[in-house]
Amino acid sequence: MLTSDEIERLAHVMAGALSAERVAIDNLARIPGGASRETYRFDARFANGSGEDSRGFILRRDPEDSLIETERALEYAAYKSFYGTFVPVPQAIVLDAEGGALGRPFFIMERIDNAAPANPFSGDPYGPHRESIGRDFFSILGAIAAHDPYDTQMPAVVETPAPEECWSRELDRWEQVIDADALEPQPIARAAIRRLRRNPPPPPAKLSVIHGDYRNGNFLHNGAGRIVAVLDWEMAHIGDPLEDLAWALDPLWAGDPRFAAGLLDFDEAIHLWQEASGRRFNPEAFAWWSLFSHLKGLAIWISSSKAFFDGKNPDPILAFSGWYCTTRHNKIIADRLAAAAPGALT
Amino acid sequence: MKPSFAHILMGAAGAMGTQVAPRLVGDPYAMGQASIVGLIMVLVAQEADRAADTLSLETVGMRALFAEAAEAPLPEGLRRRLAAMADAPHAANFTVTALEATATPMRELLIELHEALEDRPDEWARPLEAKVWDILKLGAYHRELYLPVL
Repeated sequence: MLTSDEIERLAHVMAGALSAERVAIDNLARIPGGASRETYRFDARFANGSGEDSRGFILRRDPEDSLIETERALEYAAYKSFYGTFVPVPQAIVLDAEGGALGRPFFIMERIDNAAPANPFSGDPYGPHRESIGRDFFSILGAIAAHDPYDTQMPAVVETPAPEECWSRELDRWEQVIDADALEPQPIARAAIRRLRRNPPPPPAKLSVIHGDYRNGNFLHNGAGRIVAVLDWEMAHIGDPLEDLAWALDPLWAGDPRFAAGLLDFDEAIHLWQEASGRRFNPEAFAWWSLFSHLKGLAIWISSSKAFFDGKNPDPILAFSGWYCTTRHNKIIADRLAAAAPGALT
Repeated sequence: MKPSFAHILMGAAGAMGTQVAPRLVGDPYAMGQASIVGLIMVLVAQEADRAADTLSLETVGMRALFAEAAEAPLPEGLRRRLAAMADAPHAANFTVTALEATATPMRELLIELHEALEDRPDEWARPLEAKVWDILKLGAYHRELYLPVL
């Protein structure tokens, strides 16, 4: 929780952001928002020309052990890049990558009220709105892929790979995470890495902004069948748009495996994505990115276990994801590679 | 032991989900944390009874595979280490900690063997490679966890 001093400094930050002489912070509460950031909601009350106004905001602050200021700037740039486009995102208000005001890097964005994320443990998170949410889900993902990365702030905060490097840069990145964080030998992850290196995918026709964690649970819906905000852009980068599609379709996120992402018939999902992105779905390339998604998941869960085990971040969600999700992805990869022809992806 | 670990943990998880978490409605972060703790209890309830058995099955499988692979036309150094690991001392007791300590170097050697087999185009390598996957699948299936549908 923020200290009283920090709340005072937050009020000062908000006064600057809102061009108000003085701001009062009301209803401050920590909310669940992933283990990588402390997430708070609050209302900022301030005087305007005609009286008093109050607006809702979200504060995302790095945890104490975090050294990832670049990711904070990156997430902020992603929100800024897509605000006002077909891709619904909250308006980003303040970035403090140095952490001067609140002791650690943070950023603040507007709060989207009357909307909620899906409960990841619900068997039927969207009820009668499943298909409607699904159509939004794949159309928005296609819109992200269609957006020219050079028309965004992303190239200023992340390196732009050559198209033929997309796969190896991502594989190198996540292999390094496994190398650094694995608490025990990972024979299934290692087998997947070898298989991916031996079967590189073709390069994308064009580069795209990659959300990096586009999935069930990382968007808000309004309870009436519409997605109103895409969140959690902290792994955003530039790369092959099939990476996002494969991650979105990873079986881990699909409550009901009969449907793509638990939402839509697979053919309709791919059709909507192609239509919105202007890209062609290449099954062979997708097979690579799909296996890569399982591996990237494993790397994240391995890293979660390490952070929890080391005591750097005692959030029980890390223990949960580091254990449960590792078992799921290990089984998914083992089933897939054991059934594939020797050396093949599928 | 009766009640079993699973019974105790499921009872505790139920209390967390139905008695503790609902009282935290005004504090969404605390409610979320209580719910996750309850789910972790559900996972531990599934794993507590079987963890040692899974490790035992894996090490038995790896010892047998290492003994067989030690006879295959693999590099001499690898064959020697496979033979040695097939006869490595057994865990001092049946605690999960002791069984893990025995299994860890075996898993490292399994990775090396797997890679060596994948690199061989020879027909004899394919059944051994399939046996590596059998062991990996055995571990993955025995550790599968189920979440309650809320």
